[in-house]
Amino acid sequence: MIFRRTILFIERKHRETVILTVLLFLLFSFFFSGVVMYQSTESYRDKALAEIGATLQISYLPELDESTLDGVDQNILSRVQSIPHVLGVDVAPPSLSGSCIPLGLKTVKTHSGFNPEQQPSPIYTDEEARMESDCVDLIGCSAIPLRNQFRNNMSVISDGSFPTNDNPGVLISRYFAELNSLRINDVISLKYLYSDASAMASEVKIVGIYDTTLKFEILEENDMGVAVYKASPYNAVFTDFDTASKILDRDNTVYNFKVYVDSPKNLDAVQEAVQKLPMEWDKYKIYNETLSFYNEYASQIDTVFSNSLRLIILTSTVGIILFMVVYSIWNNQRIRDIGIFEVLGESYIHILMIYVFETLILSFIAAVLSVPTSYFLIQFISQTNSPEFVSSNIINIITPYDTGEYDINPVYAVSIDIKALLLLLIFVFMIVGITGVALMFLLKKSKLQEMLKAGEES
Amino acid sequence: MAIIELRNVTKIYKVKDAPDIRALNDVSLVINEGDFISVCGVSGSGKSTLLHLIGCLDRPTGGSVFVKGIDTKSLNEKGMARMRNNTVSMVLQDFGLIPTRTVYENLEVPFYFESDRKAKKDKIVSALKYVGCSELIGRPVVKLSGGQKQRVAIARALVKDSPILLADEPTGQLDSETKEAIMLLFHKINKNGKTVIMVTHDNEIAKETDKIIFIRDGRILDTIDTK
Ligand SMILES: Nc1ncnc2c1ncn2[C@@H]1O[C@H](COP(=O)(O)OP(=O)(O)O)[C@@H](O)[C@H]1O
Ligand SMILES: [Mg+2]
Repeated sequence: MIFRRTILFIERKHRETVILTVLLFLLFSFFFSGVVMYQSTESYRDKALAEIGATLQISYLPELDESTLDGVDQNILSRVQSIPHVLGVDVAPPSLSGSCIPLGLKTVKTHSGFNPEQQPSPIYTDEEARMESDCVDLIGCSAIPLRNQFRNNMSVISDGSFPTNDNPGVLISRYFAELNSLRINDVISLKYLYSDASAMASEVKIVGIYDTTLKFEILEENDMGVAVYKASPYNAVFTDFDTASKILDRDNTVYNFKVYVDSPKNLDAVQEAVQKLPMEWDKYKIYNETLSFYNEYASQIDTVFSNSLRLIILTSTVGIILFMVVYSIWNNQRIRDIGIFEVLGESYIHILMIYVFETLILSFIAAVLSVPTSYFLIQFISQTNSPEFVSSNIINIITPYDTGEYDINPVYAVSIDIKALLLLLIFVFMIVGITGVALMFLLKKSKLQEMLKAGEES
Repeated sequence: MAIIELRNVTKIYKVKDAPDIRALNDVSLVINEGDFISVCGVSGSGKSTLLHLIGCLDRPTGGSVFVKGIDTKSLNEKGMARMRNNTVSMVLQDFGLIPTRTVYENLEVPFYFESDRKAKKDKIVSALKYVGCSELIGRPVVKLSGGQKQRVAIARALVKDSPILLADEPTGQLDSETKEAIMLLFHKINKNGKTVIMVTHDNEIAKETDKIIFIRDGRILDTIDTK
């Protein structure tokens, strides 16, 4: 019965109903957009942090030469490994990698974006660039599974296993394997591009093949020419620390290492513990890699955060005030109707219920419409007001290509989740509640006779 | 038998930044079941106030109003609403119809508590038939003439079969021919057993009722039996 009566009411006030619904719709759309943007940014930040990982880099001072150093001894490394919250230690970076010629094999040239053939390099001579383009990038590393792409499952082992000092060999990409018809346990020859002419190529066993979802897009600012191909994630060859030192003809003394920590929260504690270890700290520096990476994101993230907060606060205050003004104007118009209802024997509680129910129905219609609208509104806002969100990509800042490793967009990755919907629902009920309370005061305050008189004048 | 009784009723309206208005001053009055009464007086004399107190739209400032033996002061908002719904029905001064809805929908309003749709419809149909407006049932109120509106308003007051019918200036906005027809309708209603109280400032109309109560400045000046 109350439903029927409400419908009767809504139907009767076409203009008011439409305007009220549109107003509510706009209010909810902006509110919901703000909430979703805020929440998307939040999950983006978490995702970004997860992708960046939590790492500390310990390296010797740049003015020093490796020859003047004793290296970090194994005892120190195992003590680092046993610090709480440490996931693993990578004893290679950034030095134990290099371009290697895969003898008799082809490298993967698949890519998107610009054509590097038409991008001359100021860094390499044509001949160097050509040679580099036929190389794989050998990455010696003692903690391959902890590297970004594996930790975040952008690359996963599909055959075999990770190379380790106890399981020496190489881990190659599925693309590289298929291009050259390679299988697990096949042996390939790798030769360091810049080794002496007399040096022999090294024979290594394939112990693992990985699938990757990483892309390879060459950007306009590519200054590597065709040499850029060796940076392709499809041409990355991972190997254990010892094998890398052998191929690259480097001694296997550890000069630098990276510490993987379980969470950014624990970086400070781990850093403190590492610094207490008996190392030649006058020759080494330790720095928080996560922090410096994260700072690249931070300003963008903070802008989205404050923009969406502003959107939420501004639209809800302006919207609520506007809605209340319009609503109370019409309440005064409706007073005669209410008076008639009361005279005919309805208690004001029932009338209140009809009105609250009316607002509830209109609000729900508006809210349901606002959800898909918000989706487009967010796209619009992100494109017009904050173009910096659209292509936030750390890789772009430091390399002339994009592997997609950090390609996460806070605004385009709109996730309308239960929490956002719940907040919208709470907001809807809040609006309905406010109007209900306002109307209750109005009805309690007005005398029945005055309400009827208000009608007489109009 | 007394169906309505007022004992030393005073009604004072408090007005902001002005002296209080004593709209009714020590009014005592007994109305019996089946009476047909008119309340007569100049504008501002307190006629509507009196009717509103009887009609359970308001409570007195002093004294007591008994409707069917119930002291209105003892009723809460809901109790007052129920009295208005099924004991004292009111025909409002400007008809009090919802203009854009149909006659049927207007007559539906008092049936808030009615869940039996068939019974509701039967009552609405017979009320309209009673006032002679059966053919108007589906028509929007805006399309009705003044006399038709008044009949519909009366039908709405009758639809819950309340024993008491109140009317505030029911003939004020009508031409003399329609006035007569409406008065005939009130007579018919009264003959069928309802207590009818109407407010008017038209002495000719008042003369047609059984009893005239003259009020001035919130006091009963005189009561005349016309029979
Ligand atoms: N709600 C009210 N608030 C203040 N004064 C009122 C109110 N209703 C009526 N009055 C005043 O009370 C007096 C009696 O009014 P009313 O009963 O409407 O007279 P009538 O119906 O005879 O014209 C008038 O002076 C009127 O101005
Ligand atoms: Mg009056």
